[in-house]
Amino acid sequence: MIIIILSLMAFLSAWTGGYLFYSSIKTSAIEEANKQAVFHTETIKGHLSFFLQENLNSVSALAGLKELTNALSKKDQDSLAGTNSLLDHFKRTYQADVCYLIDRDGNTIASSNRSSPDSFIGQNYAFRPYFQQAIKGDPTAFFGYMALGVTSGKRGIYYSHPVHGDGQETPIGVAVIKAPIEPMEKAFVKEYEGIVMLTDPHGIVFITNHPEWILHTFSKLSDEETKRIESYRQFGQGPWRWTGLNLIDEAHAIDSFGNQYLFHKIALENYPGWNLIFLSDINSILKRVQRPLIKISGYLIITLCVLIGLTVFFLYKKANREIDQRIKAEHALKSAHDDLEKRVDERTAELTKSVVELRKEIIERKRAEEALRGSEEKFRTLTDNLSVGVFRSTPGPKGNYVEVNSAYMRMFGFEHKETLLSLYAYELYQNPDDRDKFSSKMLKDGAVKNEEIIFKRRDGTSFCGSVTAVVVKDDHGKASHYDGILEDITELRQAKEEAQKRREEIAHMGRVATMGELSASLAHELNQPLTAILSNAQAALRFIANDRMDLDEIGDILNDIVADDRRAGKVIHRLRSLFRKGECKRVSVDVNNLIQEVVSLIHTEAMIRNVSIETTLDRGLAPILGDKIQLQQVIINFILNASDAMKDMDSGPRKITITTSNENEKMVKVGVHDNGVGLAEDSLGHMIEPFFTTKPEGMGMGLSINRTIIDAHLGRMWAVNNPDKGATFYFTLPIHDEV
Amino acid sequence: MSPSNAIIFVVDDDTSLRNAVKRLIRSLGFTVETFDSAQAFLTHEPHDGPACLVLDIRMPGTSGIQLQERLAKAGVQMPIIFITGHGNIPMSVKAMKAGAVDFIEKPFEDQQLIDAIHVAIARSNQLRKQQAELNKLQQRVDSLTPREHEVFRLVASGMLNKQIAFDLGLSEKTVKIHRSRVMQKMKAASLADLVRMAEKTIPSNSNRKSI
Repeated sequence: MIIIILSLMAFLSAWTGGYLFYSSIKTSAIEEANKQAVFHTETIKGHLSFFLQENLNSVSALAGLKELTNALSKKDQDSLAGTNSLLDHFKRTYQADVCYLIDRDGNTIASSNRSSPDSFIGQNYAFRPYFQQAIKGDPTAFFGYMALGVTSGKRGIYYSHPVHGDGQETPIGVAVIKAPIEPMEKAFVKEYEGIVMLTDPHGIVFITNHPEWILHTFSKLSDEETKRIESYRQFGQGPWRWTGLNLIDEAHAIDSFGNQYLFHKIALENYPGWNLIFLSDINSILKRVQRPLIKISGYLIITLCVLIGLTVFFLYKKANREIDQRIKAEHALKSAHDDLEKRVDERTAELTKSVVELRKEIIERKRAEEALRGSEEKFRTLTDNLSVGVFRSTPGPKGNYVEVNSAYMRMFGFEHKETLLSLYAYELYQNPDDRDKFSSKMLKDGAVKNEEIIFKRRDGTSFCGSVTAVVVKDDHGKASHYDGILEDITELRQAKEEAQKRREEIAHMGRVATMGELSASLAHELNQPLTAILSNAQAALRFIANDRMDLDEIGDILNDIVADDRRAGKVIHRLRSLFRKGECKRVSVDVNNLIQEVVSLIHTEAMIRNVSIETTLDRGLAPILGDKIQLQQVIINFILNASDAMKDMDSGPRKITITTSNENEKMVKVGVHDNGVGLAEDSLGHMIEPFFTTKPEGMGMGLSINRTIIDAHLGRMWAVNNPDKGATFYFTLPIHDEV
Repeated sequence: MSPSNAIIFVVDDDTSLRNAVKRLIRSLGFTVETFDSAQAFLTHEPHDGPACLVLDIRMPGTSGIQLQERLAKAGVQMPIIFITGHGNIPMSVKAMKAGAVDFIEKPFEDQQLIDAIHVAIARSNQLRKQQAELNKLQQRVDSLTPREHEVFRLVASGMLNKQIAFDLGLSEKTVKIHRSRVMQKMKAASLADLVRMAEKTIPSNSNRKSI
């Protein structure tokens, strides 16, 4: 009986101690969890804000590229191909989902995903706020726009920027980079034990580490709200299911399974109504506390119970044997019991202290680790994950690398950083003298921007790199390092060269086509002198045969033959120069002379077509820089075009007037006026399109070729209907300043 | 055939070619006159004698084909040899239908032009002969009184004396007298001869020939 009572008492005391200990730990664990939630949410918010602005500079850089302006204003295959390869480059460089270009009506005209089944090409995104704000040119609203892709069904962050035409105030299109959500979700959100959610003003979960809840709603939506969300088209068509969560109070939530959570919410900057929510599962917090408690206190209590039981048992035995020692024994028992209890208390206190300290330490460490991981993550994202090489080297004609990122090593084909760092920098130049030049330029200017250098890979192959770097100075103002980035632009350069080659081929094709049109008149021009030569020579032979030789007459004949031969030679020469295929040669050109040459060249053609050509040339016309043959081609095409426009005229003179004038200090303007049928109003705007033609039997080559050539000369072309009759095609060419 | 008093007119806007063709024709012994445009040719003094025209098809202003049309309209019967840069079938068909002697493509062999000129001059002589005969016939027709002229026309159309008398309200006997006077004035040997003469001189809508 005594044993049972004593044992029970021992149990009770140990249990009470344990319970008290447990509940104090529980309270502090929940407090701790709250603190953690606050800390985590702030950290995630920091990452998110960084991420939402990450591609702003990139898209702004993309939107400033000339190719995009060209693509928007011309929309021809060439400029679109150029833009597409740029978009591919940006997609790769910034590991974007898609990069694309939207025209001012919201239609996507170029995209990095053009060959995938869910290509954006042709899709209209005019309803998207990121488009609407950018096309308005509103610079305050440029933050990443979070939405579900209507075409791809993939969540993304859309960074947009207006694209401006040359000297135009209103944007002519919008460049967009769509960044994927998943990498961020993985990097910033997944690792937390609680549930992290980013919700929009309606409570739609956009980013979360709890995949089942993606695009669910935090609280139940009314039908009206659902309709409103549908109308925004920001998150697709729905349905947006309810996560099943309910708020108990400001700090607690409960889900449909009855699980309770600590609830913590903060607002996201720059995104009104968007919240970052952190849910910590109370059960799992408690489980975390219980587990070590059972581990430690459980064994302790059992051990204690066994110890007490044994002690009582021995004492009882001892009492049986030595009844007279009972009181003494009772005393001893009591003191032993007291002692034990004291020791239990002491141990318990000690244990509590060490457990709390341990937890504190763990939390501290975790926090430090997280902070470190956060900054490392940023650093890694900024350097190692970029396809852009980052380097730091020492100055001088040889130079050593101090630090490089993995992209830099990849570009040069190195696997181990040490190998690369052990080399001199100049050893990575295809021509080591380039390093010297680069270094001198750095020291002179303090920086270089987009310097194109041919580098040598480890295997000896070469690639073209674009280097942007600055000189870092030490406290004494002496150059201590070069810090910079390196981009492999081989492909970009190849693409540019290809485009240039294609342009030249088109120009050549165009010349051949023009020659085809002119073949009748060219045959005529060659026939005239050839026929005259033949007739003269045969006449001379007959004079001689008939013995009616008059030396003066023979002399005249021979002179005429010589003159006609030269005349034929000139025709051939002109023909050859027009047919010649080759690089364009930019020289200073007097456009007036050029026009007169062309007019004399196609004088016969004009005659055949019963067209008269007049010129009104500005004598003070400034010279331009250009390729004479290509520009001749342009004028020929305009004249042929004008004469085609007058072909069906039954009455009245068919007249072409060519005018020149200085448009302003920078450009000269040439006009080709006809009095033909004029252009349909709706075709005036389509002139920029390839194969656009005003003629039923026209191929649309002439105007298209002209545009290619005029663009290559940085000029502009357009057409207007004359107030009275016919149309005028104008083009401008930049004045050659250096003369 | 001897060049005799024939004149070859050359119309071409290309000075060099014009001179060369002129020399070539001159080397055959013909007289040559050149013009640098159709207009200039149209204002020259008409020539009475065998002649032909060597004409460039393509010229600014009035083209060769247009000149051919204008000459035909004016009743000038001058054989034309066309010279062209490159043969255009519809154009040559049109020119040949309108009576051109030849259609020569540049550059041409001298013999080609010479042959064509000879053909053209022969045709010119023939035309002149026909014209002279026609003129003679016309003089005879002009010598008929109005009544005789009517009888001539009706006889030639195949009507019997009785029908003619009825048509004109005359007695058959009077018609007979008119008829014998017509045969006399027209120097017709037979009725068939008279009908032939009538075909040549009396214009009829369905049976008009032009050269």
